[in-house]
Amino acid sequence: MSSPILRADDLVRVYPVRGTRQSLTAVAGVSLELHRGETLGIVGESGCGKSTLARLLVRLEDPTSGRIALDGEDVTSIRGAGLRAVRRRIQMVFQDPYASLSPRQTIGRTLEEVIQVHGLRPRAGWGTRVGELLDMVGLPSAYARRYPHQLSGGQRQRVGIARALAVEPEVMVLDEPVSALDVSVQSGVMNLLARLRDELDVAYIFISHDLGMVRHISDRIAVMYLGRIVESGPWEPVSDRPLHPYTEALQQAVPVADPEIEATRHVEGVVGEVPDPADPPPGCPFHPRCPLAEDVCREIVPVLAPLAGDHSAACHVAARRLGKPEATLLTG
Amino acid sequence: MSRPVLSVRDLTTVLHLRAGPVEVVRHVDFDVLGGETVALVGESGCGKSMTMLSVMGLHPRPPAEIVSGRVELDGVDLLAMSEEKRRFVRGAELAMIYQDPMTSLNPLMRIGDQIAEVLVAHGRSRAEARQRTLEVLSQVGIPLPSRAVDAYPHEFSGGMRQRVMIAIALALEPKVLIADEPTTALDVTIQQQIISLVRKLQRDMGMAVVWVTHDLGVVARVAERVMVMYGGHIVETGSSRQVFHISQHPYTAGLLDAVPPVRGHERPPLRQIPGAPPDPAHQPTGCPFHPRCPNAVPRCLEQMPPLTVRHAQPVAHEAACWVPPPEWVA
Repeated sequence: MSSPILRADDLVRVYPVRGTRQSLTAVAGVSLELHRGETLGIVGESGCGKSTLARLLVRLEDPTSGRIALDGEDVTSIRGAGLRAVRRRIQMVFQDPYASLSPRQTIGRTLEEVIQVHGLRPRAGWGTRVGELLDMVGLPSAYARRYPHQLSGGQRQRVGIARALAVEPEVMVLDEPVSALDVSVQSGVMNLLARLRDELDVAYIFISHDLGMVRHISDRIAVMYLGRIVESGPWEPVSDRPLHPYTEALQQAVPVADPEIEATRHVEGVVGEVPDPADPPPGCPFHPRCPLAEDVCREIVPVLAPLAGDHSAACHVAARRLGKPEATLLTG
Repeated sequence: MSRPVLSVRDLTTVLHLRAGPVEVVRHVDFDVLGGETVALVGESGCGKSMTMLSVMGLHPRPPAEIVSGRVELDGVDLLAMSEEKRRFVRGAELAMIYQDPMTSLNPLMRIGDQIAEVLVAHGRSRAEARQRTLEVLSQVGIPLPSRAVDAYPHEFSGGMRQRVMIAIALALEPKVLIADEPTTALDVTIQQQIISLVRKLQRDMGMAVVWVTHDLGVVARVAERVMVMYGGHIVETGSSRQVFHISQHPYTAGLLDAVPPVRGHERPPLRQIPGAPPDPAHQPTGCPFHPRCPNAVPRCLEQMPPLTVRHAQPVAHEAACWVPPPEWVA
């Protein structure tokens, strides 16, 4: 297999808790690989660390420890011109495009600015390029003269995507890109993302709390809970035949838009709430809510380990059931 | 089936904006039967929250004004009542919970006092109120009610605050609970806990629930009947199965196809609805969905179609569309 375009090794991000001596570990040792043209979906609930992970990967924040490599080159603590070169290859799209677009600048100017900052085209070519970018995201070129408030939420998110595309990135980190949009508008943006990926061969990290959207677009899926990846693998087994009890709980909790299916589902539901990341439980972070928890789960943090082919989970109970009781106990 | 406990007729609410009045709730008719769960589903700006706020008499005045209609609770018109009388009915008979519990919880008041206040205002003695407060906190699954009464809202998580709000709403065992996106701000595992809780309390107390949501999955999970709202109008209504499986309105059908399927190996592109939901200040003429509708005919631009019965059984399935499904292009 070719070398990954983006690779993270054991990323950790610790924040001090204001006014206390405590600290909060938002990302607690995440490793991942993203290959060219691939979509890795990252799903998890609030506080699981998925947005912090996104900010680490695009170098908006520095990790406390760990390593990030872009196309084999260590970019963990790169600065200045080197960081600008990284930004030409990896871009981020945010949940709320309104907050990330300047209200006083036309859409055209916003896009031009990116072209200018990165020196991508001579000034004479800016206008044409803006038109191309708008066309790529399905907006008429006349929208270059509009301001963000004159656009709908879906159109603004298309502008956010166009801005990321301006540098012709190899990787796009999409943090909840459709969560703020109406259902009838979400599907258009999802289709656009899928089409751009296929046409441009760009790789995505698609971050969402919505398992349905992640299932729809991802080649592989990673599930996060309290700062860790607790399950990962190809999209179909992770989404449809999960190994980790948390993924299973998540999948059951998501209601399906079909009353026939809902009538036949028996949803157990998971008890309790996500623990405070400043005071995580010992052992498996999910054990206080887990219906399968045993003594070992309360003591030893399970390691993410391949349990069925390339389908990995960090669960002692799943490991034993699959005949690999040692797998989640070993490190390295 | 039981008779309607809540009956809304020809309800129209306008917002007085600088540019003039705009209708945000337009000639809305519906019934809620005793003990049932009915969902009011729609996207942002469709008028679903304003409909239920108008029913409660809690629409923001100004700019909102109810310009026509009747809202009957057990046959008594709430809109014809004095504000004082209506305040009494609210809470006792008709209660509402919201997406953000902090909008209805007082951050400076202990939660026990907030619940007791409602009970005392409705004539319970201090001792009775205290007793019922502990009982209702336990009913909504707040751990250690005798300690929780002394806590302030900020000491609770989002899910627990939602439980406190449900406790306040249900302290007087209302006949109808209006739940306006109560789980939208919550994670799905916590959403499921709240859904299970409301379902259990509904069974215990026999109340009807109107669940206002944008989430079709939630509708399928909680509701026996559905009302689909678009551009201030109810455009389709029927049993959940009728509306989801034999949709009679192109908006409903388009919305359902826009959601990624949860099963199967194939992942074809999702169905798109062009454009965006209308801005209430710039409603199109005729049917509000016509600019986005693949099936629109000239008549749709001119005249709003009335709700007409498409199936009579098991419940009335109605839709407001000039073009019947066999003539749809998509």
